[in-house]
Amino acid sequence: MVRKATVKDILREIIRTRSRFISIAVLVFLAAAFFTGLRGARPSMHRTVDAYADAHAMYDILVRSTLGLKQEDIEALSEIEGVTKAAGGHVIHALIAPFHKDAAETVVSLETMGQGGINVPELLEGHLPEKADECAVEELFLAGTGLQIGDRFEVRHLPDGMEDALKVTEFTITGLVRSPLYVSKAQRGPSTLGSGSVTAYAVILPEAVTLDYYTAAYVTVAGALEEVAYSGGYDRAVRPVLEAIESIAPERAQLRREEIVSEAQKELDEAKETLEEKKAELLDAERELADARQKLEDGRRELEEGKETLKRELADAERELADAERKLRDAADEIDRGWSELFTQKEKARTEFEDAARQIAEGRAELEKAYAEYEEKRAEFDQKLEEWNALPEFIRSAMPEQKAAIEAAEAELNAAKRQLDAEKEKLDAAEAELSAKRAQAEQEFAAAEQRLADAQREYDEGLRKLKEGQEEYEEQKHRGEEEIAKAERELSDAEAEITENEEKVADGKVKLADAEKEIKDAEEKIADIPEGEWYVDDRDANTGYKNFAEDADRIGHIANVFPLIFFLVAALVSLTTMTRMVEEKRTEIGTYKALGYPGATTAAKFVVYSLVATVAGYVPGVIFGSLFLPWFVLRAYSILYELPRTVTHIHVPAAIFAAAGVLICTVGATVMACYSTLRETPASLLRPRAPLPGKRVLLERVTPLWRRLSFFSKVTTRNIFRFKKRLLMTLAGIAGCTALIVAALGLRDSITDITNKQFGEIYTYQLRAYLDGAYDYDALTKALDKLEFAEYLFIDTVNVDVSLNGAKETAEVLIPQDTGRLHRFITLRDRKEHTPVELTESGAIVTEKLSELLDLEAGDTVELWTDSVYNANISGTTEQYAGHYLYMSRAYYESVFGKAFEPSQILIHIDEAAGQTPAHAAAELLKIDGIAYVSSFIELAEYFSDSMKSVDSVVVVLLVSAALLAFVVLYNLTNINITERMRELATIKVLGFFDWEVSMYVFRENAVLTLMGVALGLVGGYFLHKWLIGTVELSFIMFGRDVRAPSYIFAALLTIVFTVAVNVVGHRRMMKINMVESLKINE
Amino acid sequence: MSYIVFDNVTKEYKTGEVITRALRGVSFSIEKGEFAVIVGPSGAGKTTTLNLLGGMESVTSGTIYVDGRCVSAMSKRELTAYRRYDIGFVFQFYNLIQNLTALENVEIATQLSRNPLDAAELLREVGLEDRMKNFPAQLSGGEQQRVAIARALAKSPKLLLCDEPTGALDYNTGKAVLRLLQQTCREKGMTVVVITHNQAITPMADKIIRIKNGVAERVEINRNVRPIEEIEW
Repeated sequence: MVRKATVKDILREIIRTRSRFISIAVLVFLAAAFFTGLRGARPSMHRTVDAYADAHAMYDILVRSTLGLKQEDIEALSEIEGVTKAAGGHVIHALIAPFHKDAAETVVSLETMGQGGINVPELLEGHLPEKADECAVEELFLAGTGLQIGDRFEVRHLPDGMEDALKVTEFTITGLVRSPLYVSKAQRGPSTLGSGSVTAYAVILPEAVTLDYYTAAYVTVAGALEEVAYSGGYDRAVRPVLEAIESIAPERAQLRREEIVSEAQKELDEAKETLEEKKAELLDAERELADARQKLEDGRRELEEGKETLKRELADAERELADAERKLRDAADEIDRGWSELFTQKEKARTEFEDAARQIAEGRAELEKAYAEYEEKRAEFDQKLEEWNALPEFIRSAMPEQKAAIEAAEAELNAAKRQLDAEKEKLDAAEAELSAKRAQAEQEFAAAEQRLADAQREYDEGLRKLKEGQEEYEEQKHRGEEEIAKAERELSDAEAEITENEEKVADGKVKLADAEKEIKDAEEKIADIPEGEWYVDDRDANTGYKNFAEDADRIGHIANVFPLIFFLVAALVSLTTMTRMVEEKRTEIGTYKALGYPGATTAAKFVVYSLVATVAGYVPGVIFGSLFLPWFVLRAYSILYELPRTVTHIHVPAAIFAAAGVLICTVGATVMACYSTLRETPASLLRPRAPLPGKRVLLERVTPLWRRLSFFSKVTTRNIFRFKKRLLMTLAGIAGCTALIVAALGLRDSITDITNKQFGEIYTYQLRAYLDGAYDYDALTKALDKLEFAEYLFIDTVNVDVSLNGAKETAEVLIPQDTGRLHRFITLRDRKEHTPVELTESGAIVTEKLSELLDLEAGDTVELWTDSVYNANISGTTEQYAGHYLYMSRAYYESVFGKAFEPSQILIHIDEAAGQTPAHAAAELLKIDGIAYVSSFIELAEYFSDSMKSVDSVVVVLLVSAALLAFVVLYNLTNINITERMRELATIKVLGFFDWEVSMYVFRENAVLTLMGVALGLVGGYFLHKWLIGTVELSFIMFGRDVRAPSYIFAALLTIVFTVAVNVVGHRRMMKINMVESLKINE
Repeated sequence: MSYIVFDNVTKEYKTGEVITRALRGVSFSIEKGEFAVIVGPSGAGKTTTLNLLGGMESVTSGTIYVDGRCVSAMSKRELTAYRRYDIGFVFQFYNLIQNLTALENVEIATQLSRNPLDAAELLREVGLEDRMKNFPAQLSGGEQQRVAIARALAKSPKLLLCDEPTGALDYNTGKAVLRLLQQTCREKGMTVVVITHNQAITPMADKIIRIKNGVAERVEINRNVRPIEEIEW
């Protein structure tokens, strides 16, 4: 029965005092929502990444080697206990461009993903690459290049040492992907190509890569999947495997090194062999050459000798010929004489012979005649004979005379003939004699002729021979000379050849020497092959992953402090409200007590009331906070991070903590409020409570001031200080509201400040031109000079890691060509005073945030890590809001890095007042040979303002919660104010105070309190802002540190507006006060 | 017409469905300078009458005239002005402002009035010369009530309305307060209306209005006004 009555009672009470009930519930709601929500944001963020990473099998451990990794290394990794999967991957930076000739080049990272089931990318559109010349890209890629799925691009340049890393030079984009390896939307890492930083990544197939080693190995660890990313459990699961890998690392690295060394050594040895061969060949050649030379010399000598011999021989021959000629001439003369002699003799003989002959001839003629006669006769005879013979024999025999005649004739004839013949014989003999003589003579002559002829012939022969000899001589001479000439020519040719060959040999020697040097270098290089080192990292090496955790931590920090405000207020409001309520029920409590109900029962009613209010606020608060806030935070960070669905959950520890917190604040406050009352005896409870005695205020002692105050001012002052609790609460509420608004607006100020200050005051240049690898400095400067609208400065930049005492940050070293002109492009100044900072020859100027992060001071020496480590001295700090930089003068740069200054970029300042636009200037610049591309700050500034919008959302949240806070607190307070002073207010109403006078009576206090609260809040806001900035800032950005005056003013005004609004509402309530009723209340 | 006229005044309260008839047709009149006492049992409607007279509530029907002005027809604002300038109220539980000294409590009234009296002087008159800087918590009941009276008088009102002024005080203190009221009435010619459930003090009044069950049962004029000192109860 008591229960039922109590329930009814409580319900009625709730409805009756619903504004009180709602106030408590709302504050609890806010406290619970913000606490669990913000508290849950960090784990929610962790879980979101975890879900994403798990869904796509993100690696747990990343192994990289200074020498690359081989399949054997991958196998060694997979054999380690605790490793579930190990796979190798490639990351190759490339400078690419769409096919159009003038298309801008972009540095991208071509990576193999998903091999071995690790780092599987999430496919958003299209399909994953299926052929070696296909690739899938991320959103940033499309945005950065302007390409679409289906477009192609070509690889224009690869890093040193990787020139042959790819099989293909063109890729077609087949799909859009997203990967947990790159949760960050910016920061794709530095590169040695192009502008020095990677714009985006693209997923390619291993088939597109020619390298025989992996650039990285990815490992997943057993048990890690079940753990949540970033958690202690996760670290514990991964750590042992990481250590195991580290323990095998040196050995494997050494193996790899040996492999490389032995490969290189093999090549070197081969080269050496070849070298030796060549050397031997050369030596042979040399020897041959020497021989040839020798031969040449010999030949020369022989030639000379030959020449001499020839000369001598020719001389001999000449002499001989001359002799011969002389002999011949003599012979000729002799022959001539011979001939003439012969001729004479011959003539003589001839004449003789002719005479003889004549005689003979005559003789012969006669003989002839004789013979003729004979012949005739003979013929006759013959005829006759013939006739005779013709006659038959018998006839003949018959005619012996005739026969005789014939015989006689014949005999005659014969005798004649014999005579003739004898004559003839005589003649013949004579002739024969003559002939013989003739013949003899002829013989003799002939012989003589013959002799002469012989002699002649001999002579001719001789002459011929002489001629021949001469000819021969000439010929020989000629030939000899020719030969000599030829020989000489040949010799000289040979010489020439030899010389040539000698040169060649010499050349060859030089080349050989070079080759030897090369081999030596290669040997050195081998010796220089770094000790294979393995870098074994867990996911923290992934910048996006790590930065996300840092951002989550930031929210965690906010979660630690921010909700406390609400808890505090909730506590205060509950305390005052419940105290009020207990006060109101004073007589009731007394009655119950007098009736015999134990104090606890009575207290229970109030406790239940506040409990119900708490639960009514807590449950929706937790749900709303857990679901909405993490989602909201992640959405706010979506400008910076690319993540799929947010994973929200009720963060149980936070919820419990929040529950405890709100219970303490409300129920605890209630119990506190009840406690003192319940300790009173029923009798005293039934009596009206002795009103709080009036007290003098401190201010009263300041008599001169007190006297000057008007009556009502005094009243107000006393009233203000009368109820300490309320005073504190009001001040807290108002100050809190103002502080929150100041912080929120200040945050926005700081953020917009960056853009304005950074891109207007610090960077006075608008464009940065990046130079081609090779360019003509003079031509370039001429072309730049021609552009009348631009001032320019050549600079060089180096990406480094700056470290001091173990802390490391990435930064860019910027070196101007001309220190004196730097101020026209970049302002180096102290942030607070704006005094310019000078760039000297003896130190570097560092940007403010960097010096904050590394705790640097002027005079410190830092390490700069690039390909090697350098030390630099810090001489000062400069104002900067985005990025970390070190400025060095040219001379200092050269002394630190030991390298010559080589400009790689140009800063361009255009006179925008003269109507020049950066876009136009950029276009003009791109036309100049040597300029690769131009970046304008407009894009950068836009990027900033975009990424700052995420923080803007935080601003809105703060503002809204500030408003809510203010409203609830002030409303509550005013209510309490009015309720507690009902009697007082009724009295003065009775006294005849007009309505507005009654309002003013109360609100004068409110006004003063508001002003005090606002003043406190402005100060508090300043500090809150500072804290907020420090917490919310990203590591590489420095927000403006100042809150602008208008923000303060606006915060104050807004708070006042809230207060006035609350007062207006309170006014209405006050009007409703029924004097009669109020005065009747027996308190 | 009389200074104060109540003509068939009714007052009903409606709370939800319940209608409470506090006054069911009260009629009486009081002359200027009279010391009137309204008596009756608890719940009769005395306080309601006083409240209506003091302009703290509005009549449901009937008319009230004070000094020729129709109070019952006044608007809220006019009533406030009426209370401000014409009425001085003294409550049973003093209703002093705790945060103000005695003097300041009186001053708070002088700030309102058109022709106020001097606060300090008044306090002296009521015998609280030494207590002016004290807060109500530091004053006894009687002293507090005297401050309240001083506050009521400070406005130089036309009427002084007192709702059971001695209810929280002991016999002697109560008497002293009544004496003060009587004095004020006599010396300043102020019209004083006192509510009490103590029949014994009716002899000190000029007019006695007996209210019972929401009506003025009897209105008596007392020919034998006795100073309070002489009255014992």
